[in-house]
Order: sequence, then structure tokens, then C-alpha cells
Amino acid sequence: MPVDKTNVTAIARRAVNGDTNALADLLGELAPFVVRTTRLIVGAGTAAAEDAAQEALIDVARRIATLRDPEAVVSWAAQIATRRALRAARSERLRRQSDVEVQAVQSPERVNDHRAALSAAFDRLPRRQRAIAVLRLYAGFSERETADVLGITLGAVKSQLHQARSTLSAALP
Amino acid sequence: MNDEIDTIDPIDLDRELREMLLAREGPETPQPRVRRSRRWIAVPLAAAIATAAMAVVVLTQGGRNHHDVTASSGAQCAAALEWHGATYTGTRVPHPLSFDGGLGEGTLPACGDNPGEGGRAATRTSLVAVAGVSPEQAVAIAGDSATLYVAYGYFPQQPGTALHRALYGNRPGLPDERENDCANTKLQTVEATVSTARLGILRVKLADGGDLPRETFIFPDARTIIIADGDPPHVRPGDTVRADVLVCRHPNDKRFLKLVATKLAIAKRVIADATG
Repeated sequence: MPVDKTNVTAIARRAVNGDTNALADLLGELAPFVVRTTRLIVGAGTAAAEDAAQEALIDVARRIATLRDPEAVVSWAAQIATRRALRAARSERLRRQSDVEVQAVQSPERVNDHRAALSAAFDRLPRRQRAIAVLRLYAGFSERETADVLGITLGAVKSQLHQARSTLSAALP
Repeated sequence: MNDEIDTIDPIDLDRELREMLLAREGPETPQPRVRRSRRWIAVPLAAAIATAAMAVVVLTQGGRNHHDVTASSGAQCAAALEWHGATYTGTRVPHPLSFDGGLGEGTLPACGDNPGEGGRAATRTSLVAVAGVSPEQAVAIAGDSATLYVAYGYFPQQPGTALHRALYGNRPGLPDERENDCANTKLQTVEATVSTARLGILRVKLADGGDLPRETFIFPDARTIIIADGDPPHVRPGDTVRADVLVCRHPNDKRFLKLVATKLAIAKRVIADATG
């Protein structure tokens, strides 16, 4: 899990209760997770991804006073980030340009052909499947948590993750 | 998940996918876009932090240290710039600004300890006037039509002004601070000393607010009647204000408090004459 939930929950509790120092601390703790999750869903290295990440962070900052359950701050932030990312992915039609731009951010550590193929295939996945894969495999959410973040059923998470795996597997050399 | 995957074990695939995602996760902060202001990261987020800080502060009923996040956080730079000795606060606008001639250079103040990691060294930047708006009240950074920088002390909330139009477009009813959160309201008159006035929102110390916190914010909105000597109205730190405020509390949240000014009378700070 990229975020230390215990630490973040404690900070979130202070922030929600009016400690403005804690708000800055909370943003500092959540920012890497929010930014990277958003970026991975939208498509790394694209302007839309960076915009979406920025907007997601702004949402987190603006809505912190509305967070009722500090224990759920990570899921809450993930939900904000994912929504921003899905919206950006849809509007920017990123898959058309992802191959070129993703290559740009992967250098200088030139990856092998296998991973390059996996990366390119991942960018061609439907955006919701990308989101599920990122939440499950990168962010470390359970299938239930992933379903809650995305507002879909557990079955939908399982089936779409399976579909993603099938697509990726077929695309590998 | 009963279907078989033909060419690779799903566990191996998950591992590879996880490694691939980790390899391309990128840096921890959003990266500046090409051909866009270098301040792209700092402005909206810092503005959001400022807004959120205000929101959080008004949730507290005194006794807390009202720390200014935008000014102190090393993690993010304040959405501010300096020009001709005045400080301006940046805010996003819903429609692109129309520019009206160059103003020379202003300064983006230094902030944070580590430039490149959320911090920034002081930077000179080209400023432009905004069509119809006096540069004393607001300016913009050349090439960034999405952010308006409003000088401390002015009130963009006042409808019928160029400053209001620049920020809210043709929506004279905005901002409306009385929506939603002002379900349980009483009217009260307060006297206060102004600490700061960014984007027209006053951070004040109340002279005697009864059960109100001594340090709080007063939110003017489009319906606020502002009484001041100058035109446009302007307030500075140390000025005193007498305000009729709606004391807004939330029926389901005892911590929520918001003072919305219905009338705001500004009295300039009396500066002692050194000779007398």
C-alpha cells in the first residue's frame, strides 16, 4: 500500500477537526498516492494526466471539511483521484496518443520488449479496466474496496479485471 | 474467476503488471505542462489549500491557532505575486481573461525550502493588465488567462464592477455565501480588527464577539453592503470594521461556524503622527 493508513488516518482526524497544520500534512502524505494513481489511470506522461492529478489534489484540499470518516481517508482520496482520472481519460482520448508519450516517460531506463508490450497494451485497455488494475495491483485495494471506490459491484470488478488480464496476456509477445 | 488465461499465469501477469505500474508511476507531484506557466502547479493547489484552510478554520470555534497554511507550508507555494509593493492573491476564473497591455515584471515570492520539490526561489514574471480592471486591483501573468491575481484588500464580491465580472462573469448574484450552510442563522453586529484581506475575505480579531471565537473570518458576498471612504472600497491590516453578520451554523455540525457580512463599514487605521 503506497500510503501509511494509520499515519494518514491520524492526520486526517486532526485536519477534519479543524487543525489547519494537519491539512498541509495530510496533503503532503496523500499527494504521492493521489498523483500517481491518477497518472497511471489516465496515462503517464500526458498533459491530461498531470491536469487530472492536479485537480484531484485540489478536490482533496477543498473537500476535506466534508470528510465524515477519517478512517476512510485513503479510500476517499482514491475515489476523488479515480473520478478525476476517468473523466480526463474519457475527454482526452488518451489511448490514441499513449504509445508515444508513455515511451517518453519510461526512458532513460529502457525497458525490455516484454514490459514495453505490456505497458502499451495497458494503455489500450478501457479506462475503467485501467482504473481497476491500478487500484487493485498498484494501490493495493481489495476487490471490495475497489468496487466501493468505483461505485460498482464486486462482480463487475472481478469480471473486468479478468477481462483486463485476458487482453493483456493476449497482447504479450 | 473460472476462465483460463491462455498464455500467462494470472499471478505472474499481476506481478508483471504491478512492476510495470511501479516503473511508470512517475514523480510524487504533478509535473508542469509544456508551454504553460511554470506556476501551473503552485497556483491552483495553493489556492485550494487556502480555501480549504479557511473552510477548516471556520469549523473551529476558537481556541485554536489559526495558522496560515498558504504562507507557511514548505510543501506548496502560495498563489501570490508582488507588483509595485502590493501583494496579489491568485484565483482561478471560470472564463479566460481578456488582457489589456503589459505591466512589466512582478515577483513570485520565494517559498519552501527545496525549490523543485514543491518550493520555489523568487522568480520574476511578466504581468499584464486585465481588460477593464485597474492593475491596482488585479493583474494576470502573461500567458495565463485562467488565473486572476487580486490585490490584498479589494473586494471582488461587489457586483457591477469590472473586478467582479473578471472573476464571476455575468453572474451578479455570485458569490452567495448564504446558501446551504446558513440554515440556522442569527444576525449580530461585531467590531473587529482586520488581520488580512485576501480575495475580499477578511481574517479578523473580534473586539467582543460574545460566544464567537476571537479570531475568525468574515465573508462578504454579492449582497453585502460595503461602506468605505474610498471607491473602490479597500481595507488594510489594522483597519477596523463594524459588520452586521449572519452567524451561520449548521444544524448537524456543532463545529460549523461562518460569519457572512450583510453590511460592512470600514474605518481606516489611525496612524500616529510621529511629530505629534
